[in-house]
Amino acid sequence: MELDNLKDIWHDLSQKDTHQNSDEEIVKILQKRSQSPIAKMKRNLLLELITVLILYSLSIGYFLATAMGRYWEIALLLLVVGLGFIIYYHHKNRLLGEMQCVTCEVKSNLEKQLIMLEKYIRFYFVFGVVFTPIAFFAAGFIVLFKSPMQDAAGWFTGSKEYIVFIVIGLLVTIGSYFLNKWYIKKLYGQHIKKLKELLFQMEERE
Amino acid sequence: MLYKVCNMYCHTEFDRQDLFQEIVIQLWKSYPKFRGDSKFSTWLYRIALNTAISDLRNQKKNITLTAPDKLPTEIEDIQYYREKEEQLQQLHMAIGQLTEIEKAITMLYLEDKSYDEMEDILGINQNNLRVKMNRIKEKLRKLTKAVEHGIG
Repeated sequence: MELDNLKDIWHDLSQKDTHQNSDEEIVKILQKRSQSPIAKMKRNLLLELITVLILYSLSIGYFLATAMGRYWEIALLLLVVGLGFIIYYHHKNRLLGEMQCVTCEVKSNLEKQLIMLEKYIRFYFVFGVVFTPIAFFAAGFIVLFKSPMQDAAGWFTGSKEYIVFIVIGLLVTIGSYFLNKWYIKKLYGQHIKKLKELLFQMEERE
Repeated sequence: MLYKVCNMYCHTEFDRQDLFQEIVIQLWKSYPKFRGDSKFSTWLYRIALNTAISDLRNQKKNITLTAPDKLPTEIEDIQYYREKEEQLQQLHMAIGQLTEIEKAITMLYLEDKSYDEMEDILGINQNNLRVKMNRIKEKLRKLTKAVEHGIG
């Protein structure tokens, strides 16, 4: 069967198309939330931001109130980290906003999505890998220096706790690298693969 | 036109409604930015196809071949000539096996869009489109033949 022979049937289908949405149905549709991958990513990002804000506010409050404010430096550290997170979310949200252009040519939209998603992932990865160990070491040093049972000067001269702390820190650093890599691949690996596949289909010639 | 895109890219009623809803939302969001730089139909097709192609939820379900009983209900509903209906069913089954990009090209071709307009919508140059179109025609010829003989 030739494709050209089917054009008539295809056009008949338009004339016999019985689907007619009423205004009410269209309004109902427009009231629903978009389920596109990017819209979902934006919603997840917002949820993550709200969770971080609540958890950090509670933690800051806790460290300011506990032990007569002895650990106020931790509260300050959390505040700095929290502010860092806000910048991080703002940047991610901006990248998501630029990720899709539904009114562009299909090919350029796919290329844009791929480039922006790779940027987004790179940022996600670097932030996760760098920030986790920094936060761990900073918090650890504050606790150890402020602990009434510790002698800070003696602590650095190769005490057992110091070695354990450094070893855990290194494990956290290495662990966060692999964990971030695995998690990002799990979240976006398929998506990137599919986008590359689609672009390959578009460029492919005999 | 929107239903045709939905039928082309989705095989279950649920997926079709889902994609239709997504396209309508995207149209609604994009309409205020429409400046008339391109034809309205080009703009409409871009949004519909961009949404259908980059909506990866539905594409997973497109890999399998459509069974005749799961074909769009309107084919069953309308009183069609039996021969034409069979041809259309074969076409839908064959289209179900095309890639996402091939489906888009096939649809624009069936809609009588010129290569110029196809290039405007898809962003694939005309030479490449012609090569692809010939390949699709050949592929569909083989696929519909296979369906006629009960293979596939």
